[in-house]
Amino acid sequence: MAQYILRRIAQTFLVLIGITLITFILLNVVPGDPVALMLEKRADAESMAKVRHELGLDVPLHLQYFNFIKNAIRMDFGKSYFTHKNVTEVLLKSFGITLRLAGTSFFFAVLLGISGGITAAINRGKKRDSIIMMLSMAGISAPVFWVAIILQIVFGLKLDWFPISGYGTPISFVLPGIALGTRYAASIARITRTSMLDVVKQDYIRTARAKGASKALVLFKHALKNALIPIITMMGTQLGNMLAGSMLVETIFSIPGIGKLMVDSMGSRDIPLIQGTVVYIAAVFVFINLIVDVSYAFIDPRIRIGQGAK
Amino acid sequence: MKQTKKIVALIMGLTLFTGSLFAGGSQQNSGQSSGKKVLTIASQDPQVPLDMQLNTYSLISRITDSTSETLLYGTADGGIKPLLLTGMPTASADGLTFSFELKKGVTFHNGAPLTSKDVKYSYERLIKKIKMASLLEQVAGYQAFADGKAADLSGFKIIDDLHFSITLSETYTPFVSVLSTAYCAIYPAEACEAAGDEWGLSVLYGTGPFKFVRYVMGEEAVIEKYPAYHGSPAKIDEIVYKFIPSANTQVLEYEKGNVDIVYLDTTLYPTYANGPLKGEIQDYPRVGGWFMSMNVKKIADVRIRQAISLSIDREAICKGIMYGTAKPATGFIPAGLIGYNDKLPVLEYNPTKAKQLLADAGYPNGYDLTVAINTRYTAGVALATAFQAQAKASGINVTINSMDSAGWTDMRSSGALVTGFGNWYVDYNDPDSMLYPVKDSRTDLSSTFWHNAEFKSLMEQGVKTSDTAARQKIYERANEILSREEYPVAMVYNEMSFYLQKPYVSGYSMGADGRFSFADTVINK
Repeated sequence: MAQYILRRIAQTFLVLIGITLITFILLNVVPGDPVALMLEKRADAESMAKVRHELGLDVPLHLQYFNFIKNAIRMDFGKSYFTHKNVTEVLLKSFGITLRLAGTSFFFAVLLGISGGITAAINRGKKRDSIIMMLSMAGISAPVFWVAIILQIVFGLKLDWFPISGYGTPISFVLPGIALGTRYAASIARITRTSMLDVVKQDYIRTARAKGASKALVLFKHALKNALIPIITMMGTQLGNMLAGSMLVETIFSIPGIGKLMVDSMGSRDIPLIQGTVVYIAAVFVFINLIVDVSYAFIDPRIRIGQGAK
Repeated sequence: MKQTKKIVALIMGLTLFTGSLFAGGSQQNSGQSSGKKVLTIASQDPQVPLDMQLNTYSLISRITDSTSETLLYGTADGGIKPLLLTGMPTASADGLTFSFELKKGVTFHNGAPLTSKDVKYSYERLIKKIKMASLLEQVAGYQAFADGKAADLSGFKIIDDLHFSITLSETYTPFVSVLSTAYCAIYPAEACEAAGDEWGLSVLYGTGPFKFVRYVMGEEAVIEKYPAYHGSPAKIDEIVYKFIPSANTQVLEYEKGNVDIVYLDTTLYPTYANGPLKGEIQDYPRVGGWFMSMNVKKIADVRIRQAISLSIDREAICKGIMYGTAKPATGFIPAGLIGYNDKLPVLEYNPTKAKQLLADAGYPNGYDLTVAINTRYTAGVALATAFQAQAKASGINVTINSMDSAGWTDMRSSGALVTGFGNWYVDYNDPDSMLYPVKDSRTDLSSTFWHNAEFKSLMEQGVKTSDTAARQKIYERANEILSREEYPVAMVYNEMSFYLQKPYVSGYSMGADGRFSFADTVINK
């Protein structure tokens, strides 16, 4: 197991280098010069050359990339061109905020999704099943910004239960957490139902029932545990997405998380910030995938991680 | 039903519980503190240092106008008055040297007294920071200092702590107005230099009625009353700028009573103008407007440029997409500025004439035109879409090229723009500020590439002439060349801006130059 994890971490570095290289190339291909944006009305050739030199953008591209990698290994992504703030510090602050939003949202999605999926599965074909599946379809289809605005109007403005925007207090994360988690909850509910229905047909479930095991024991110990693999895979991807930030939810609820940071930095072509956020997001996905893979072994001992990875 | 309610309550409760587990960082200011008169304003997050010498966004000046002051300020009626001076600067007989006397006893928020040295430092810093340096290019010694060949700005002479003079290399009538712009804010030399990159982020001292408290990107900026202010002290204790990126959320927070002022996006105007908040909408004119710029290198034939201008139905745009909140333009110079001619009719919409002009120019079967827009401005997107539909009547097939700010600025400065919709508003109440985008020295940098000997000469005469009646004639002619003869730009409309203001707030004013003042703002709650 340890060898597998080490190998995966080594792969992570290769993935990150590949991603930073692609990002670096793209940033130099797409239109949008940060220096022109910085100087705006005064963007004449002479002034631009002066600022480009100050920012180190007049160095050959391969050297710029090499310098970036050299510093990134030390977790130094430089300073933002526009705010002059240390990128690592900015990332850490935004990560902390996104973590709170993602945590709330993930909890909501898992709680609602799994309970909804199990309820639908055990009531297959009945009214409850239809209602849950209909709601989950609505949850998947509803645009996140629409859900967010409805929540703001109903629970923030009309009922005055929760803040409309901001992020300083625990209660501030409820509405954005639900807005972000609704779609994920719906997906989890659907996959939980499907996976549970597959499992309950298995012989060992019939055997457990025949042996007189209680309904709850059959449901949670035998059925749910064995249905968890696809659910966990999906939850892993969803957690990755949540931790990568959600620009829409963050913008609507005025939460300065990673998603908004990335979009804002793209808009200003703030290269150090873009590179920093890209590395962060890539690292989050790789790390979560690793955790998901490792968790398989604990959930289902039949899976041999060491062999599977070869 | 009861069961459903229980489930909803349970889920929300558990979500709240999780929120509490993960939350715990900074606490946001809830607005009104006990006993304090706090004005809360919904704002976009500038995301850059609060320093107009570095970044020219009006978002910044809305905050810094209350903390940093200039030697002079623009009044609501377009005049100029002394602010940090004992009186208006006096000019020498040749009009080249201006003498200034600073008010005695003015202190910066760090307690340091305001001296001539700070003024010199601030102007030299403006030049070093490049972005708005050209405002001072008429000051003697500008070029040498800007090029790093001189250690200081030779045209600026310090006489003593309260007296100094500025000598220009050539006559420049708007010079005194220029000094009233937010870019010419006076900073304390030593503190500003010591703060370095932190200036405008964690440190900011000015002489204004409010002093900087904190600026947390993504959250808020807070300024508080400066008790030792040299003028009448502010009537409120604190101003909190809450950064709320979504325009819709800003209004919801206003409705809930969490913010007192919201600057309305024009696109939201009809929603609120017809709703319960109708009585709380305030307006103010902006001197400037939206226009289409044309690259004369790519559209060399003036008949095509005229045809494009004739294809814009300005009345329909003002009615349809601006909901009657804008006036169709009669030329590039708007009302309120020297050079505006109130006898001119609205720029013509005439697709038949446009078609004929295109046919005469060799395009009898239609003309393909690319219009670039910066998606940052929703008004520009709506404008381009309306023009795309209108231009069909003239046989102009419009392709809209949407891009973000970085792409837009890059294209404009690289000369790649064919046509584009942009906006411009004066920095100081003078036609020279309005005509800045079409100045001979500017057009190559904004993808217009338009050069006209008569226009250039008029612009030079305009800044050298002090007689208002003579200037009126000069700029009227310049406006005519620009808007009705050469068409490097086609002005579309001059609009109003709007904001929501709670009925208990009063005394909030705006200058003709668009600068904001909360010095006399009162909260009667």
